[in-house]
Amino acid sequence: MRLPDPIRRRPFWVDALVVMVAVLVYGWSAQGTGTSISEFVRGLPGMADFLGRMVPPDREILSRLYKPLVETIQLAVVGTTLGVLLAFPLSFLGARNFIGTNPLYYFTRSSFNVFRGVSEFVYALVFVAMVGLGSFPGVLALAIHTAGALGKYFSEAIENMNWQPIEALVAVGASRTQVVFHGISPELAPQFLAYIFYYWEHNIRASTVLGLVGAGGLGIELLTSVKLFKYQEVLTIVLTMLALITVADQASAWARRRILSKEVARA
Amino acid sequence: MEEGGAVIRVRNLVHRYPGGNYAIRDVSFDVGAGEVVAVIGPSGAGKTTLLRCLNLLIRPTSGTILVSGEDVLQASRKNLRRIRRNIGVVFQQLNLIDRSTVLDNVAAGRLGYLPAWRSLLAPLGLTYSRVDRQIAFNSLRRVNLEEFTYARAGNLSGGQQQRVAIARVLTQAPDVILADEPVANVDPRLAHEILSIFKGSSQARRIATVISIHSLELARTHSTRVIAMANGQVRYDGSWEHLTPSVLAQIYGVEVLEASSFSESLRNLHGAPA
Repeated sequence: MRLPDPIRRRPFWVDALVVMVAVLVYGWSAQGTGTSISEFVRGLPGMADFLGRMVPPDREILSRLYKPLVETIQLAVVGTTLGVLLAFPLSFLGARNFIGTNPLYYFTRSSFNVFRGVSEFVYALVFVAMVGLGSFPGVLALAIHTAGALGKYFSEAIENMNWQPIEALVAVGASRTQVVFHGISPELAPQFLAYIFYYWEHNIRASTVLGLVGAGGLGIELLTSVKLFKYQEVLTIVLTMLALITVADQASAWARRRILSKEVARA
Repeated sequence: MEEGGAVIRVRNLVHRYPGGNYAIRDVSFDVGAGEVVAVIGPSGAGKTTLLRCLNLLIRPTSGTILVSGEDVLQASRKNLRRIRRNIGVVFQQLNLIDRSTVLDNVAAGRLGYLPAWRSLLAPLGLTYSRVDRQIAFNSLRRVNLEEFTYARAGNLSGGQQQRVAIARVLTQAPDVILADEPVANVDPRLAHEILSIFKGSSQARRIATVISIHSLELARTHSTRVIAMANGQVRYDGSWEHLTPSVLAQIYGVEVLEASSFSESLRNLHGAPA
Protein backbone atom coordinates (compact mmCIF):
# COMPACT_ATOMS: atom_id res chain seq x y z
CA MET A 1 0.00 0.00 0.00
CA ARG A 2 1.27 3.48 -0.85
CA LEU A 3 1.41 5.91 2.04
CA PRO A 4 0.01 9.42 1.56
CA ASP A 5 2.59 12.20 1.06
CA PRO A 6 2.58 14.24 4.32
CA ILE A 7 4.16 17.32 2.68
CA ARG A 8 1.73 17.65 -0.23
CA ARG A 9 -0.44 20.76 -0.46
CA ARG A 10 -3.41 21.23 -2.76
CA PRO A 11 -2.37 22.99 -5.98
CA PHE A 12 -2.71 26.79 -6.03
CA TRP A 13 -5.04 26.82 -9.02
CA VAL A 14 -7.70 25.27 -6.75
CA ASP A 15 -7.52 28.29 -4.43
CA ALA A 16 -7.65 30.65 -7.39
CA LEU A 17 -10.72 28.89 -8.74
CA VAL A 18 -12.55 29.13 -5.37
CA VAL A 19 -11.84 32.89 -5.16
CA MET A 20 -12.98 33.43 -8.75
CA VAL A 21 -16.25 31.59 -8.23
CA ALA A 22 -16.93 33.53 -5.01
CA VAL A 23 -16.32 36.90 -6.72
CA LEU A 24 -18.62 35.93 -9.59
CA VAL A 25 -21.44 34.84 -7.24
CA TYR A 26 -21.22 38.04 -5.19
CA GLY A 27 -21.09 40.27 -8.26
CA TRP A 28 -24.02 38.50 -9.86
CA SER A 29 -26.13 38.75 -6.66
CA ALA A 30 -25.29 42.41 -6.06
CA GLN A 31 -26.20 43.27 -9.63
CA GLY A 32 -29.44 41.32 -9.47
CA THR A 33 -30.56 43.08 -6.30
CA GLY A 34 -29.38 46.53 -7.35
CA THR A 35 -27.08 46.75 -4.37
CA SER A 36 -24.48 49.46 -4.76
CA ILE A 37 -22.62 51.84 -2.48
CA SER A 38 -23.50 54.91 -4.57
CA GLU A 39 -27.18 53.98 -4.44
CA PHE A 40 -26.91 53.73 -0.65
CA VAL A 41 -25.20 57.12 -0.32
CA ARG A 42 -27.80 58.74 -2.58
CA GLY A 43 -30.55 57.31 -0.38
CA LEU A 44 -29.08 58.61 2.90
CA PRO A 45 -30.85 62.03 2.97
CA GLY A 46 -34.19 60.34 2.35
CA MET A 47 -33.58 57.93 5.21
CA ALA A 48 -32.57 60.74 7.54
CA ASP A 49 -35.70 62.67 6.63
CA PHE A 50 -37.84 59.59 7.24
CA LEU A 51 -36.23 58.88 10.62
CA GLY A 52 -36.64 62.56 11.53
CA ARG A 53 -40.35 62.36 10.91
CA MET A 54 -40.63 59.24 13.13
CA VAL A 55 -39.41 60.94 16.30
CA PRO A 56 -40.69 61.52 18.84
CA PRO A 57 -42.88 58.39 18.98
CA ASP A 58 -46.55 59.14 19.28
CA ARG A 59 -47.59 58.20 22.79
CA GLU A 60 -51.23 59.01 22.19
CA ILE A 61 -51.88 55.74 20.39
CA LEU A 62 -50.51 53.50 23.16
CA SER A 63 -53.99 52.98 24.57
CA ARG A 64 -55.17 51.92 21.12
CA LEU A 65 -52.33 49.38 20.88
CA TYR A 66 -53.31 47.49 24.03
CA LYS A 67 -55.95 45.33 22.36
CA PRO A 68 -53.88 44.27 19.32
CA LEU A 69 -50.93 43.63 21.64
CA VAL A 70 -52.94 41.21 23.75
CA GLU A 71 -54.34 39.71 20.56
CA THR A 72 -50.81 39.08 19.28
CA ILE A 73 -49.98 37.09 22.42
CA GLN A 74 -53.25 35.16 22.25
CA LEU A 75 -52.60 34.35 18.61
CA ALA A 76 -49.24 32.84 19.49
CA VAL A 77 -50.69 30.88 22.42
CA VAL A 78 -53.59 29.36 20.48
CA GLY A 79 -51.55 28.81 17.31
CA THR A 80 -48.76 27.08 19.23
CA THR A 81 -51.19 24.92 21.20
CA LEU A 82 -53.00 23.73 18.09
CA GLY A 83 -49.65 23.06 16.43
CA VAL A 84 -48.51 20.96 19.40
CA LEU A 85 -51.76 18.97 19.39
CA LEU A 86 -51.15 18.11 15.74
CA ALA A 87 -47.40 17.57 16.07
CA PHE A 88 -47.43 15.25 19.11
CA PRO A 89 -49.34 12.29 17.63
CA LEU A 90 -47.82 12.74 14.18
CA SER A 91 -44.26 12.79 15.54
CA PHE A 92 -44.52 9.12 16.51
CA LEU A 93 -45.46 8.21 12.94
CA GLY A 94 -42.41 10.17 11.82
CA ALA A 95 -39.94 8.37 14.09
CA ARG A 96 -38.24 5.52 12.29
CA ASN A 97 -37.38 3.57 15.43
CA PHE A 98 -41.00 3.65 16.60
CA ILE A 99 -42.96 3.03 13.43
CA GLY A 100 -40.34 1.32 11.26
CA THR A 101 -39.13 2.29 7.81
CA ASN A 102 -42.35 2.18 5.85
CA PRO A 103 -44.47 4.40 3.57
CA LEU A 104 -46.26 5.94 6.56
CA TYR A 105 -42.92 7.14 7.94
CA TYR A 106 -41.91 8.77 4.68
CA PHE A 107 -45.36 10.29 4.20
CA THR A 108 -45.32 11.85 7.68
CA ARG A 109 -41.82 13.19 7.34
CA SER A 110 -42.57 14.78 3.97
CA SER A 111 -45.77 16.37 5.27
CA PHE A 112 -43.69 17.95 8.06
CA ASN A 113 -41.46 19.41 5.38
CA VAL A 114 -44.43 20.78 3.47
CA PHE A 115 -45.95 22.27 6.65
CA ARG A 116 -42.82 24.01 7.80
CA GLY A 117 -41.30 24.60 4.36
CA VAL A 118 -43.80 27.37 3.62
CA SER A 119 -43.59 30.52 5.78
CA GLU A 120 -46.47 31.20 8.18
CA PHE A 121 -46.81 34.53 6.37
CA VAL A 122 -47.72 32.76 3.13
CA TYR A 123 -50.16 30.45 4.93
CA ALA A 124 -51.78 33.53 6.52
CA LEU A 125 -52.20 35.09 3.09
CA VAL A 126 -53.98 31.97 1.87
CA PHE A 127 -56.16 31.59 4.96
CA VAL A 128 -57.21 35.25 4.90
CA ALA A 129 -58.43 34.63 1.38
CA MET A 130 -60.25 31.50 2.58
CA VAL A 131 -61.86 32.58 5.87
CA GLY A 132 -61.59 36.38 5.75
CA LEU A 133 -59.72 38.99 7.78
CA GLY A 134 -59.03 38.59 11.51
CA SER A 135 -57.02 36.59 13.99
CA PHE A 136 -58.48 33.22 13.06
CA PRO A 137 -56.61 32.85 9.75
CA GLY A 138 -53.50 33.86 11.69
CA VAL A 139 -54.09 31.08 14.23
CA LEU A 140 -54.48 28.52 11.43
CA ALA A 141 -51.31 29.72 9.73
CA LEU A 142 -49.26 29.49 12.93
CA ALA A 143 -50.76 26.09 13.80
CA ILE A 144 -49.80 24.52 10.48
CA HIS A 145 -46.29 25.89 10.44
CA THR A 146 -45.76 24.94 14.11
CA ALA A 147 -47.09 21.42 13.53
CA GLY A 148 -44.53 20.90 10.79
CA ALA A 149 -41.60 22.33 12.71
CA LEU A 150 -42.37 20.72 16.08
CA GLY A 151 -43.33 17.44 14.40
CA LYS A 152 -39.88 17.28 12.90
CA TYR A 153 -38.14 18.23 16.17
CA PHE A 154 -40.20 15.73 18.18
CA SER A 155 -39.61 12.92 15.68
CA GLU A 156 -35.89 13.51 15.76
CA ALA A 157 -35.87 13.57 19.56
CA ILE A 158 -37.64 10.19 19.56
CA GLU A 159 -35.19 8.79 17.05
CA ASN A 160 -32.21 9.93 19.12
CA MET A 161 -33.41 8.71 22.51
CA ASN A 162 -31.95 5.74 24.36
CA TRP A 163 -34.07 2.85 23.15
CA GLN A 164 -33.10 0.26 25.77
CA PRO A 165 -35.69 1.34 28.38
CA ILE A 166 -38.33 1.25 25.64
CA GLU A 167 -37.31 -2.25 24.60
CA ALA A 168 -37.72 -3.31 28.23
CA LEU A 169 -41.34 -2.10 28.12
CA VAL A 170 -41.93 -4.03 24.89
CA ALA A 171 -40.55 -7.10 26.66
CA VAL A 172 -43.11 -6.60 29.42
CA GLY A 173 -45.85 -6.91 26.81
CA ALA A 174 -46.61 -3.20 26.45
CA SER A 175 -48.49 -2.08 23.35
CA ARG A 176 -47.40 0.83 21.18
CA THR A 177 -49.80 3.19 22.92
CA GLN A 178 -48.48 2.14 26.31
CA VAL A 179 -44.91 2.63 25.10
CA VAL A 180 -45.86 6.18 24.03
CA PHE A 181 -47.40 7.16 27.37
CA HIS A 182 -45.28 5.21 29.83
CA GLY A 183 -41.92 5.20 28.10
CA ILE A 184 -41.28 7.82 25.44
CA SER A 185 -43.37 10.70 26.83
CA PRO A 186 -41.93 10.73 30.36
CA GLU A 187 -38.39 10.38 29.04
CA LEU A 188 -38.71 13.19 26.51
CA ALA A 189 -41.07 15.56 28.38
CA PRO A 190 -38.38 18.18 29.20
CA GLN A 191 -37.09 18.27 25.63
CA PHE A 192 -40.61 18.52 24.21
CA LEU A 193 -41.48 21.34 26.61
CA ALA A 194 -38.32 23.24 25.75
CA TYR A 195 -39.12 23.00 22.05
CA ILE A 196 -42.69 24.17 22.69
CA PHE A 197 -41.52 27.27 24.56
CA TYR A 198 -39.02 28.01 21.87
CA TYR A 199 -41.73 27.81 19.24
CA TRP A 200 -44.15 29.91 21.23
CA GLU A 201 -41.51 32.64 21.23
CA HIS A 202 -40.98 32.14 17.50
CA ASN A 203 -44.74 32.47 16.99
CA ILE A 204 -44.90 35.73 18.97
CA ARG A 205 -42.33 37.13 16.57
CA ALA A 206 -44.26 35.81 13.58
CA SER A 207 -47.64 37.04 14.79
CA THR A 208 -46.44 40.64 15.11
CA VAL A 209 -46.21 40.76 11.32
CA LEU A 210 -49.15 38.51 10.40
CA GLY A 211 -51.36 41.60 10.53
CA LEU A 212 -49.63 42.91 7.43
CA VAL A 213 -51.69 40.45 5.42
CA GLY A 214 -54.76 41.06 7.54
CA ALA A 215 -54.36 38.10 9.88
CA GLY A 216 -54.70 39.91 13.22
CA GLY A 217 -52.39 41.36 15.85
CA LEU A 218 -50.15 44.42 15.94
CA GLY A 219 -49.29 44.13 12.26
CA ILE A 220 -52.68 45.52 11.25
CA GLU A 221 -52.00 48.73 13.17
CA LEU A 222 -48.57 48.98 11.57
CA LEU A 223 -50.06 48.61 8.10
CA THR A 224 -52.68 51.32 8.77
CA SER A 225 -50.18 53.86 10.14
CA VAL A 226 -47.73 53.29 7.29
CA LYS A 227 -50.46 53.79 4.72
CA LEU A 228 -51.57 57.04 6.39
CA PHE A 229 -47.92 58.27 6.52
CA LYS A 230 -48.18 58.61 10.33
CA TYR A 231 -44.52 57.86 10.97
CA GLN A 232 -44.58 58.80 14.66
CA GLU A 233 -47.23 56.14 15.17
CA VAL A 234 -45.11 53.68 13.16
CA LEU A 235 -42.21 54.17 15.58
CA THR A 236 -44.47 53.61 18.58
CA ILE A 237 -45.76 50.39 17.08
CA VAL A 238 -42.30 49.12 16.15
CA LEU A 239 -41.02 49.85 19.67
CA THR A 240 -44.02 48.03 21.14
CA MET A 241 -43.26 45.00 18.98
CA LEU A 242 -39.65 45.13 20.06
CA ALA A 243 -40.65 45.24 23.73
CA LEU A 244 -43.05 42.34 23.30
CA ILE A 245 -40.49 40.21 21.49
CA THR A 246 -37.82 40.98 24.08
CA VAL A 247 -40.11 39.97 26.92
CA ALA A 248 -41.23 36.79 25.10
CA ASP A 249 -37.62 35.96 24.32
CA GLN A 250 -36.58 36.31 27.96
CA ALA A 251 -39.61 34.41 29.25
CA SER A 252 -39.04 31.50 26.88
CA ALA A 253 -35.32 31.39 27.63
CA TRP A 254 -36.04 31.42 31.37
CA ALA A 255 -38.59 28.61 31.08
CA ARG A 256 -36.30 26.47 28.96
CA ARG A 257 -33.37 27.05 31.28
CA ARG A 258 -35.46 26.01 34.26
CA ILE A 259 -36.78 22.87 32.61
CA LEU A 260 -33.41 21.71 31.35
CA SER A 261 -31.34 22.70 34.40
CA LYS A 262 -33.66 20.64 36.60
CA GLU A 263 -32.80 17.69 34.40
CA VAL A 264 -29.09 18.33 34.71
CA ALA A 265 -29.41 18.59 38.48
CA ARG A 266 -31.13 15.23 38.53
CA ALA A 267 -28.70 13.41 36.31
CA MET B 1 -37.60 -33.35 34.29
CA GLU B 2 -40.73 -35.08 33.10
CA GLU B 3 -41.85 -34.84 29.50
CA GLY B 4 -44.63 -32.32 28.98
CA GLY B 5 -43.70 -30.53 32.18
CA ALA B 6 -41.35 -28.09 30.45
CA VAL B 7 -42.26 -24.40 30.70
CA ILE B 8 -39.72 -23.47 28.05
CA ARG B 9 -39.18 -25.84 25.17
CA VAL B 10 -36.68 -24.91 22.50
CA ARG B 11 -36.15 -27.13 19.45
CA ASN B 12 -33.58 -26.79 16.68
CA LEU B 13 -33.28 -23.05 17.11
CA VAL B 14 -31.14 -21.32 14.51
CA HIS B 15 -30.32 -17.66 14.18
CA ARG B 16 -28.34 -16.51 11.22
CA TYR B 17 -27.21 -12.93 10.63
CA PRO B 18 -28.00 -11.36 7.26
CA GLY B 19 -24.26 -11.66 6.49
CA GLY B 20 -24.55 -15.43 6.73
CA ASN B 21 -22.79 -15.97 10.08
CA TYR B 22 -24.55 -18.11 12.64
CA ALA B 23 -25.25 -16.67 16.10
CA ILE B 24 -27.11 -19.79 17.16
CA ARG B 25 -26.94 -23.14 15.40
CA ASP B 26 -29.38 -25.89 16.21
CA VAL B 27 -30.00 -25.30 19.91
CA SER B 28 -32.52 -27.46 21.79
CA PHE B 29 -33.29 -27.58 25.50
CA ASP B 30 -36.12 -27.62 28.04
CA VAL B 31 -36.55 -25.70 31.28
CA GLY B 32 -39.04 -26.87 33.87
CA ALA B 33 -41.00 -24.96 36.49
CA GLY B 34 -38.87 -23.97 39.47
CA GLU B 35 -35.60 -24.64 37.67
CA VAL B 36 -32.84 -22.05 37.58
CA VAL B 37 -30.64 -22.67 34.56
CA ALA B 38 -27.32 -20.88 34.27
CA VAL B 39 -26.14 -20.31 30.70
CA ILE B 40 -22.37 -20.02 30.63
CA GLY B 41 -19.85 -19.68 27.85
CA PRO B 42 -17.37 -17.19 26.42
CA SER B 43 -18.42 -13.79 25.10
CA GLY B 44 -19.88 -14.16 21.64
CA ALA B 45 -21.08 -17.71 22.29
CA GLY B 46 -24.66 -16.66 21.55
CA LYS B 47 -26.05 -16.40 25.10
CA THR B 48 -27.59 -12.95 24.69
CA THR B 49 -28.98 -13.74 21.24
CA LEU B 50 -30.52 -16.93 22.60
CA LEU B 51 -32.30 -15.09 25.43
CA ARG B 52 -33.49 -12.35 23.09
CA CYS B 53 -34.93 -14.94 20.71
CA LEU B 54 -37.02 -16.53 23.46
CA ASN B 55 -39.44 -13.58 23.70
CA LEU B 56 -38.95 -12.53 20.10
CA LEU B 57 -36.99 -9.33 20.66
CA ILE B 58 -35.00 -11.01 17.90
CA ARG B 59 -36.82 -13.23 15.41
CA PRO B 60 -34.78 -16.41 14.94
CA THR B 61 -34.20 -17.81 11.47
CA SER B 62 -35.79 -21.18 12.21
CA GLY B 63 -36.75 -23.59 14.97
CA THR B 64 -39.52 -23.86 17.54
CA ILE B 65 -40.01 -22.09 20.86
CA LEU B 66 -42.83 -23.07 23.19
CA VAL B 67 -43.41 -21.06 26.35
CA SER B 68 -46.09 -22.45 28.67
CA GLY B 69 -47.31 -24.45 25.69
CA GLU B 70 -47.68 -21.45 23.37
CA ASP B 71 -45.80 -21.26 20.11
CA VAL B 72 -43.88 -17.99 20.27
CA LEU B 73 -42.89 -17.87 16.62
CA GLN B 74 -46.45 -18.44 15.35
CA ALA B 75 -48.10 -15.98 17.74
CA SER B 76 -50.25 -13.14 16.45
CA ARG B 77 -49.41 -9.62 17.57
CA LYS B 78 -52.04 -9.76 20.31
CA ASN B 79 -50.95 -13.17 21.52
CA LEU B 80 -47.33 -12.08 21.49
CA ARG B 81 -48.21 -9.37 24.03
CA ARG B 82 -49.75 -12.05 26.24
CA ILE B 83 -46.74 -14.32 25.82
CA ARG B 84 -44.36 -11.47 26.63
CA ARG B 85 -46.13 -10.48 29.83
CA ASN B 86 -45.61 -14.09 30.87
CA ILE B 87 -41.83 -13.75 30.35
CA GLY B 88 -39.96 -11.38 32.63
CA VAL B 89 -36.68 -10.05 31.24
CA VAL B 90 -33.83 -8.49 33.19
CA PHE B 91 -31.31 -6.89 30.88
CA GLN B 92 -27.57 -6.49 31.17
CA GLN B 93 -27.72 -2.70 30.92
CA LEU B 94 -29.97 -0.72 33.18
CA ASN B 95 -33.11 0.17 31.32
CA LEU B 96 -35.59 1.90 33.55
CA ILE B 97 -37.59 4.95 32.57
CA ASP B 98 -35.23 7.32 34.39
CA ARG B 99 -37.64 10.20 34.80
CA SER B 100 -40.50 8.12 36.19
CA THR B 101 -40.81 7.10 39.82
CA VAL B 102 -39.59 3.75 41.06
CA LEU B 103 -43.19 2.68 41.65
CA ASP B 104 -44.24 3.60 38.10
CA ASN B 105 -41.33 1.62 36.73
CA VAL B 106 -42.28 -1.41 38.78
CA ALA B 107 -45.99 -1.06 38.00
CA ALA B 108 -45.10 -1.10 34.29
CA GLY B 109 -44.89 -4.87 34.82
CA ARG B 110 -48.71 -4.77 34.76
CA LEU B 111 -48.93 -3.06 31.33
CA GLY B 112 -49.25 -6.37 29.52
CA TYR B 113 -52.44 -7.03 31.50
CA LEU B 114 -54.05 -3.63 30.85
CA PRO B 115 -56.02 -2.44 27.84
CA ALA B 116 -54.01 0.10 25.84
CA TRP B 117 -56.59 2.89 26.26
CA ARG B 118 -55.86 3.06 29.97
CA SER B 119 -52.44 4.52 29.25
CA LEU B 120 -54.24 7.61 27.91
CA LEU B 121 -54.86 8.29 31.61
CA ALA B 122 -51.12 8.25 32.30
CA PRO B 123 -50.87 12.08 32.49
CA LEU B 124 -53.45 11.93 35.30
CA GLY B 125 -51.61 9.09 37.01
CA LEU B 126 -54.63 6.82 36.64
CA THR B 127 -53.25 4.01 34.51
CA TYR B 128 -52.79 1.56 37.34
CA SER B 129 -55.54 0.41 39.69
CA ARG B 130 -55.08 0.17 43.46
CA VAL B 131 -54.58 -3.55 43.08
CA ASP B 132 -51.86 -3.12 40.47
CA ARG B 133 -50.10 -0.56 42.65
CA GLN B 134 -50.28 -2.91 45.60
CA ILE B 135 -48.76 -5.72 43.53
CA ALA B 136 -45.99 -3.37 42.44
CA PHE B 137 -45.34 -2.25 46.01
CA ASN B 138 -45.14 -5.85 47.21
CA SER B 139 -42.52 -6.55 44.55
CA LEU B 140 -40.57 -3.52 45.73
CA ARG B 141 -40.63 -4.89 49.26
CA ARG B 142 -39.37 -8.20 47.91
CA VAL B 143 -36.19 -6.44 46.71
CA ASN B 144 -35.99 -4.22 49.82
CA LEU B 145 -36.48 -0.92 48.03
CA GLU B 146 -39.79 0.22 49.53
CA GLU B 147 -38.18 3.35 50.96
CA PHE B 148 -37.48 4.50 47.38
CA THR B 149 -41.08 4.02 46.18
CA TYR B 150 -41.50 7.62 45.00
CA ALA B 151 -37.88 8.39 44.15
CA ARG B 152 -36.96 9.03 40.54
CA ALA B 153 -35.56 5.82 39.09
CA GLY B 154 -32.67 7.69 37.46
CA ASN B 155 -31.45 8.89 40.86
CA LEU B 156 -30.82 5.38 42.20
CA SER B 157 -27.47 3.62 42.17
CA GLY B 158 -26.73 0.97 39.56
CA GLY B 159 -27.36 -1.89 41.98
CA GLN B 160 -30.63 -0.36 43.17
CA GLN B 161 -31.78 0.16 39.59
CA GLN B 162 -31.07 -3.48 38.81
CA ARG B 163 -33.25 -4.47 41.78
CA VAL B 164 -36.03 -2.17 40.50
CA ALA B 165 -35.80 -4.01 37.17
CA ILE B 166 -36.20 -7.29 39.04
CA ALA B 167 -39.18 -5.94 40.96
CA ARG B 168 -40.76 -4.98 37.64
CA VAL B 169 -40.27 -8.53 36.42
CA LEU B 170 -41.81 -9.99 39.60
CA THR B 171 -44.79 -7.65 39.12
CA GLN B 172 -45.46 -9.34 35.80
CA ALA B 173 -46.16 -12.56 37.76
CA PRO B 174 -44.46 -14.48 34.95
CA ASP B 175 -43.97 -18.21 34.40
CA VAL B 176 -40.55 -17.49 32.94
CA ILE B 177 -37.71 -15.15 33.87
CA LEU B 178 -34.82 -14.49 31.51
CA ALA B 179 -31.84 -12.57 32.87
CA ASP B 180 -28.98 -11.50 30.64
CA GLU B 181 -25.84 -10.95 32.73
CA PRO B 182 -27.89 -9.45 35.58
CA VAL B 183 -24.90 -9.13 37.92
CA ALA B 184 -22.24 -8.01 35.45
CA ASN B 185 -22.21 -4.46 36.84
CA VAL B 186 -22.73 -4.94 40.57
CA ASP B 187 -20.43 -5.71 43.48
CA PRO B 188 -20.05 -9.33 44.69
CA ARG B 189 -22.27 -8.95 47.76
CA LEU B 190 -25.10 -7.46 45.71
CA ALA B 191 -24.57 -10.11 43.05
CA HIS B 192 -25.28 -12.80 45.65
CA GLU B 193 -28.31 -10.89 46.87
CA ILE B 194 -29.74 -10.45 43.38
CA LEU B 195 -29.17 -14.07 42.40
CA SER B 196 -30.78 -15.30 45.61
CA ILE B 197 -33.88 -13.27 44.75
CA PHE B 198 -34.03 -15.10 41.43
CA LYS B 199 -33.53 -18.47 43.07
CA GLY B 200 -35.99 -17.74 45.88
CA SER B 201 -38.81 -16.55 43.62
CA SER B 202 -38.15 -19.30 41.14
CA GLN B 203 -38.72 -21.89 43.85
CA ALA B 204 -41.54 -20.07 45.63
CA ARG B 205 -43.52 -19.29 42.48
CA ARG B 206 -42.43 -22.21 40.28
CA ILE B 207 -40.83 -19.87 37.75
CA ALA B 208 -38.60 -21.28 35.04
CA THR B 209 -35.52 -19.06 35.20
CA VAL B 210 -32.68 -18.76 32.69
CA ILE B 211 -29.69 -16.63 33.62
CA SER B 212 -26.71 -15.96 31.42
CA ILE B 213 -23.70 -15.33 33.59
CA HIS B 214 -19.92 -15.21 33.46
CA SER B 215 -18.95 -15.95 37.03
CA LEU B 216 -18.86 -19.73 37.44
CA GLU B 217 -18.83 -19.56 41.23
CA LEU B 218 -21.95 -17.39 41.37
CA ALA B 219 -23.61 -19.53 38.73
CA ARG B 220 -22.88 -22.71 40.59
CA THR B 221 -24.18 -21.38 43.90
CA HIS B 222 -27.44 -20.01 42.57
CA SER B 223 -28.56 -22.34 39.81
CA THR B 224 -29.92 -25.86 39.67
CA ARG B 225 -28.58 -26.72 36.22
CA VAL B 226 -26.06 -25.47 33.71
CA ILE B 227 -26.09 -25.04 29.96
CA ALA B 228 -22.69 -24.34 28.47
CA MET B 229 -22.56 -22.68 25.08
CA ALA B 230 -19.76 -22.09 22.65
CA ASN B 231 -19.86 -20.94 19.07
CA GLY B 232 -23.66 -20.82 18.99
CA GLN B 233 -24.09 -24.40 20.14
CA VAL B 234 -24.97 -26.11 23.40
CA ARG B 235 -21.87 -28.05 24.44
CA TYR B 236 -23.12 -29.23 27.81
CA ASP B 237 -26.54 -29.42 29.43
CA GLY B 238 -26.86 -31.02 32.85
CA SER B 239 -25.89 -30.88 36.49
CA TRP B 240 -22.89 -28.96 37.84
CA GLU B 241 -21.48 -32.18 39.27
CA HIS B 242 -20.82 -33.63 35.84
CA LEU B 243 -19.40 -30.48 34.34
CA THR B 244 -15.82 -31.67 34.20
CA PRO B 245 -12.72 -29.53 33.68
CA SER B 246 -12.24 -31.09 30.27
CA VAL B 247 -15.70 -29.95 29.17
CA LEU B 248 -14.95 -26.45 30.38
CA ALA B 249 -11.62 -26.52 28.62
CA GLN B 250 -13.44 -27.35 25.43
CA ILE B 251 -15.83 -24.48 25.89
CA TYR B 252 -13.48 -21.73 26.90
CA GLY B 253 -10.43 -22.88 24.92
CA VAL B 254 -7.27 -24.37 26.34
CA GLU B 255 -5.43 -21.07 26.57
CA VAL B 256 -7.70 -19.81 29.29
CA LEU B 257 -7.22 -22.94 31.35
CA GLU B 258 -3.52 -22.35 31.60
CA ALA B 259 -4.31 -19.73 34.17
CA SER B 260 -4.03 -21.71 37.37
CA SER B 261 -6.57 -19.57 39.21
CA PHE B 262 -9.14 -20.83 36.78
CA SER B 263 -8.48 -24.52 37.56
CA GLU B 264 -8.44 -23.56 41.20
CA SER B 265 -11.91 -22.12 40.91
CA LEU B 266 -12.96 -25.29 39.13
CA ARG B 267 -11.75 -27.39 42.04
CA ASN B 268 -13.72 -25.18 44.38
CA LEU B 269 -16.76 -25.66 42.22
CA HIS B 270 -16.50 -29.40 42.68
CA GLY B 271 -16.04 -29.12 46.40
CA ALA B 272 -13.00 -29.86 48.50
CA PRO B 273 -11.14 -33.04 47.50
CA ALA B 274 -12.12 -36.01 49.65
